[in-house]
This record gives sequence, C-alpha cells and structure tokens, in this order.
Amino acid sequence: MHNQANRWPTPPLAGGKERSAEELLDCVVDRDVEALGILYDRFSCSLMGLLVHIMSVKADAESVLQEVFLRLWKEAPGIAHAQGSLAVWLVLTARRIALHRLRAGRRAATRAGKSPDGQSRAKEKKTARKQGDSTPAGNNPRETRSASRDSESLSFLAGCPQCWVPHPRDIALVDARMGLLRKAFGHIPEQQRNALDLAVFGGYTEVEIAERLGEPLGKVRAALRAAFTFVRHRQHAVLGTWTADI
Amino acid sequence: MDCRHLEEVYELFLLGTLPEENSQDLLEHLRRGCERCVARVKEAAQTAYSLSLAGKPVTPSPKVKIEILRSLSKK
Repeated sequence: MHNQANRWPTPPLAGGKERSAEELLDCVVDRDVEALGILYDRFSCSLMGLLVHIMSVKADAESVLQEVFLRLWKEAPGIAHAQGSLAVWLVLTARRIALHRLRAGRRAATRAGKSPDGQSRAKEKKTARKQGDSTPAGNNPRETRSASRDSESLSFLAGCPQCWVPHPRDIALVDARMGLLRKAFGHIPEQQRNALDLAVFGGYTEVEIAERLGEPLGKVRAALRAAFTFVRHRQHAVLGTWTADI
Repeated sequence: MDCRHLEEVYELFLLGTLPEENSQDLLEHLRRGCERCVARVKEAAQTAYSLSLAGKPVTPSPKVKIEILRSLSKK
C-alpha cells in the first residue's frame, strides 16, 4: 500500500515531484486502480481533516471519504474533461456529501420529534450515519426543499465542473501559500468567525445561523458578507492577485 | 443581465449553504454562460477550498483505502 501521506506532515493538496493529480486523473479515466490509490494517499489526510471537522465522528468522516473516492472513480471522465483542479473537486465534493448526510440526520431528528439542538452534536451525527442517504425526505415542505437543494447541488457539481473548478495552476499557488492563508484567516473578527464556522463546517444557511446564534438575520448576513470580503481581500494579498474590481 | 447582486453569494453557493431559491437563480444564470460570474465562481472556489482546508490533516484508518480498492475490484 502506498503511504505518501506520511511524507507530507502538513500536506499541500496538490503538487510534489511525482505525477500531477491531473495526470493521475487521466490514468483513472483509463481505469487504473493504482492511480486512484496514489490519489487517495495524496489527498486523504487533508480531506479527513475537513470531514472530521464537519462530521465530528471519525467513522462518519471515513464513510464520506470512501464515497468521495468511489465517486471520483465513477465521474473521472467528466472531471478530466473540465480540465480543472482535481483538488478543488475533491474538497467541494467531500463537503457536499458530508453536508448532505448531516442534513439528513437533522431532518430525521426533527421528524422523530427531537430538536437537533437538544442533543449532543455527536449524537445528532450518529443519527445521520444510521439514516444515511436512504432517509426519505418526508412530507414537510421545508424538509423536502432541503433535500431537493442538496440533490440539485450535488448534481450541479457532478454535471458542470467546468463552470466552477479553477485551473490547477491557480490552486498550486493556493497550496504553496496555504500557511500564509491560514495565518491571515486567523485574524477574522470573532463575531464574523462564529457565523463563518457555522456556514463552512456546520452547513447552515444564513437563516439557520441566525436561529442558532439568536441574532437578527440582517446582522448574521452582514457578518458573513464581511467575513467573505475579509477572506477574499486577504487571499488576494497573499496570492498577489489583486484586480481592479474588488 | 446585471448580475452584481449575485456577487456576495458565490462562496455560500459553493460551500453548499445558500438557500434553495437563491441557488436556483445562480444555477440558471451560470448555465446561461455569464463569463463574469463563471470567473467569480472560480475565484470563490479558491476561497471555499482554502477555508475548508484551514484545519489540521487527520490520517484515516487503513481499512478505508482497503475498502475502496475492494469495492473497485468487484466492479
């Protein structure tokens, strides 16, 4: 078994002297299982860091990780055709699958008459794992809309990667400067940080964040906009990609 | 179409936290091929990517890779 992950204690998601992720993806398109294994070794630790943050329970995170790579195997031709960064596809696809399962658990908890807030997060996610993707959306229109949203988003990510996946060279620059970006993100003001964390790692919408924080929607919306503006500006400064219209 | 009102929602869209009705508007707009929005979504994807990887890496159990490769060998 390859174990390249150990060579990157704080690994960038892409790069290295070996074949590029996109070259390996071309091999996966040709049904090369070993290439998929190399991609797994290269990306799994970074993806797990994200997934454990979202799912809380390691076994749940590993289940999502498995689905991400099986999906990569299945959708490789379309991803390769888009000629975008595989690392970005992996991260955003992992997010979508994880949030899809998390929301399924929340809906199941709501149907069972339990407030998702009334139980521990780990327990909430344990429910999500048990219910998995097979959980029916239920008759509640709000639940149905949420399920529909997840499904549509997953479908969009699968079907139109050329619409949103950046070029690998742009992501290589992000990877090379990830340490600086992390430091810059550490300076996000606390109130904005709280709202941002609920969006990035909790998968909550603005309305849901307002409910959880007990804050007016307008205030949460403003905090999130400010946080993203902060992040964008810091990102441009770190990457040296300032343009006239930001 | 003036799409500047979409400017502030690209990140939420890519993070998967934009409400359904707003996501639909943005999806339809992107499918029409607005070059400006496609460029901005790609930029927002960089932001979503770097924010998502802000935490520390975690090593998965060895069994995960074994399971994946076993699943593929059955196909």
